[in-house]
Amino acid sequence: MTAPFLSAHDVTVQFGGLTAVDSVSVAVARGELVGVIGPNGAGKSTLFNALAGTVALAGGSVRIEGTDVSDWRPERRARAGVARTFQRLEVFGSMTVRENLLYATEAAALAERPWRLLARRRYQDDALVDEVLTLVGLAGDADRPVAELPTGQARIVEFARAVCARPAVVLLDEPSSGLDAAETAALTAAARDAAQRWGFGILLVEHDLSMVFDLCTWLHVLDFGCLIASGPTREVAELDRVRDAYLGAVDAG
Amino acid sequence: MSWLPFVVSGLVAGSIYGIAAMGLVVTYRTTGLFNFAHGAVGMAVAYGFYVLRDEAGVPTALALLLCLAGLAPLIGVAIDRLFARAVDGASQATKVVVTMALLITLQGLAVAVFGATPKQLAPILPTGTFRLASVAVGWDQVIVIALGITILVALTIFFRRSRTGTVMRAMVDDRDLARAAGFSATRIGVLTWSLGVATAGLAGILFSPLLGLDSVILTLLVVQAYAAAIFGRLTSLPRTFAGALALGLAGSLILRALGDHPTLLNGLRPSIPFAFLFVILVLARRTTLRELGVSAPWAGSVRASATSGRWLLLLLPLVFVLSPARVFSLGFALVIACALLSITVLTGTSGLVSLTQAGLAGVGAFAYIHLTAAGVPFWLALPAAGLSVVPLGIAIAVPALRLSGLFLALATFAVGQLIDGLLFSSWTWFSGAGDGLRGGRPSLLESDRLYVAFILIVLVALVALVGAMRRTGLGRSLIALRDSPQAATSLGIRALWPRVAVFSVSAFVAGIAGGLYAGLLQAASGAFFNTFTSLLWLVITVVGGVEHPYGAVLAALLFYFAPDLVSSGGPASPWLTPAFGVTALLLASRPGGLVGWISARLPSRLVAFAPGPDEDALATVGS
Repeated sequence: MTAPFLSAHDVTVQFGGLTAVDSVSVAVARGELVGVIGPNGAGKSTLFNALAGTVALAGGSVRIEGTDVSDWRPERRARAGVARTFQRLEVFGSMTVRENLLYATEAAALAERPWRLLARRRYQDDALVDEVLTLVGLAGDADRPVAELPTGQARIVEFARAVCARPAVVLLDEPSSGLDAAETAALTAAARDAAQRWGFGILLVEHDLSMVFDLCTWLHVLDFGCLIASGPTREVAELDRVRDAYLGAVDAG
Repeated sequence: MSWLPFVVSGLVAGSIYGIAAMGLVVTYRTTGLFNFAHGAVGMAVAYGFYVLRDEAGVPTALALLLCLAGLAPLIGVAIDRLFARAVDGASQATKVVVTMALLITLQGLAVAVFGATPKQLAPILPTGTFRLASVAVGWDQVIVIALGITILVALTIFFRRSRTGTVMRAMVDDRDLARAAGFSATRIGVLTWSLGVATAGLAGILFSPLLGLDSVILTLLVVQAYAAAIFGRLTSLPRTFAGALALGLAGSLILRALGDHPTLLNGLRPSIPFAFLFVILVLARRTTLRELGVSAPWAGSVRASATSGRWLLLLLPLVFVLSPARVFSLGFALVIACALLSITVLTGTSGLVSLTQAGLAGVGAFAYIHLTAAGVPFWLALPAAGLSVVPLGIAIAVPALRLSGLFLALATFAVGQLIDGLLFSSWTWFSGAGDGLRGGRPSLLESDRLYVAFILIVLVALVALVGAMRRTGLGRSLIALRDSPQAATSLGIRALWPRVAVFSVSAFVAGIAGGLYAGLLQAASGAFFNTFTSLLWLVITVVGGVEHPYGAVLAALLFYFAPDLVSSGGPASPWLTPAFGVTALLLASRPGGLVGWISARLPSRLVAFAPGPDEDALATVGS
């Protein structure tokens, strides 16, 4: 097995007196497709935010290729190779699809040195954008402003934008929310193909099990902030305690 | 002389600020709309009181009742129906512009109807005094302080104990909650705004006999209320009232302390609330100042345009055919167009609102005057005037870096007033033509016609600069940070450098405009570049279209040149300002402005300033 690129080691996150994530360890390597599932309120999103750098840790560490990055701000982790999408769609609405992706190819370079902000197109990568557009099936809509697109396509734009940042790992935060079954399937296929083509890893945090079972080869199950199971997707899905935690929550919801 | 009388009068002023500030907090907390026009509505109610009592002879008590229980709710309903609900869920920048437009409209109307001269009002409260520890205290002073405390207690109990109050507190985060609890959102909105207008009106009425009824003073007096409200974190009424008392005391005690140094006093005293406001905003922890209400990122519905500006050269023949007086007024409008471009750069690209642009232009004007007076050649002095303002722009950008939307607007408003009070009003370096200094022109451009032609060429160059900026990584980063700060961060972008850069470019453009102004008028006065001008400029730029450079040009021509064509040289109609204010209210939520409206109605091949692969069309998206 390859060494993990991004990993959480005994990560604990607290809000006031409440422990949202309790000593959880997960890891994702380049090319690996890892899923994190769990019922509502299990701490999935909090774990996700801890990895992305938007919440502070109460214990443990987040590492990139072994280096402790717990106190790095989100933009620094992004430049180090961690891309992400958002549970509530975040796109550059006034730009076209192509402009969204082109900007993703140059953003890290622009942020590296302030004077690079003066560059016209020097750090953009048209070839990569064209290839990503074709692979995710957006080539026909490349010049439409993103604000015009339906949610399903906008989600794919968001994912494609993460890909254009040339990441080592992409974090997907409940990407299927707001999508119907066909749109979810399209996004799943795009994610699988892109990960295979460019060799990045994916850490998928999802409530919807079909996407996780479709995409991920390795699964972690969270319940009440604790990891209750980890392993290959097929094996974990058969475990009774996972079914209990999950189906119980589905009944309640 | 004893300090005690100053303490009493400070508490009196503080109580009046407190009454206004608590109303501001109540409306913000319930609706999420920070009302920059809070002072202006108070001023409107105070004028209503003046008309009823001093002109129509209605008895004081009845006039008070009519104003606070009749006129105030009426204005409250109007605000709720016409603006507040229209901008619910819009971007904070839109909300700032709408209440600014309301401020400009009301202040402009007051001047148009009642004239610019302040009115004197007879006292409202009893004038008798009693002695307290050897100090003569007026009964009116006691009444005002008691009134402030009573309102504090009443509002606090209302919000803590009553069902309506509880719903009002929760409503800002969830509109459906009111409906779920069986309250109509309309009723709550009307109640909130009536309460807000009534407190502003009461403060305005209480102040008028002390200061005279003056539309500008009463409109800007509200800054004490802003500062107190921010001190109360825009949520806590007791903290707000305490902040207001502290401000009142500070203003009064400095009068006692510096009474022997009138120049220092006159500069410092009006600046206290602004300095207070700026310091609280910059020092506040991120978590204590939370923007309330539902806000979208700035529009994002209209594409920022990167035009080269060459079509503006079509105006060139005008420079040589118009009468001399009109050429001059065209030149003035073109100078203002340059200044408004500094707003296009900042607000149109990044969605950040700055209320200090006139102050920056003024600093550029004085830099230019002093440079040319010192013998620096024109060709160097003009760019140097632009560059000289850049450090000031950066000085605003860096401390304000953490602030956005509403709080950035408030901080820049404070800085604008500080420039006004500390530089223009009290430093002789900025007193312009008084000591014989005048802005020079190069011998080649000595005539008005040639100088105005030169201004036009500079304007085209600045438009091209704005366009070029938008085609760089900087322009794209600003738009990305505007459309979705979170997504931009997730790609590795840090807001610091793009923000510093855009504030620098904006300041540079404003400074150039100031230099051109000084060259055209061969003089400058701090009075022209006051904060009110900054507010007006923002509002008329929105009317023209804040995203497209031609919006700035159109706005300047409509406001500063077109009236001259109609009235042929006389003073501009006082109705002009309120007319622009109303138009801005109608257009505020559409950043396309008039330019966007016009281009959407032209056949595409006639849209001279739209097409071309490099010059983005003003394609209106979605909305």
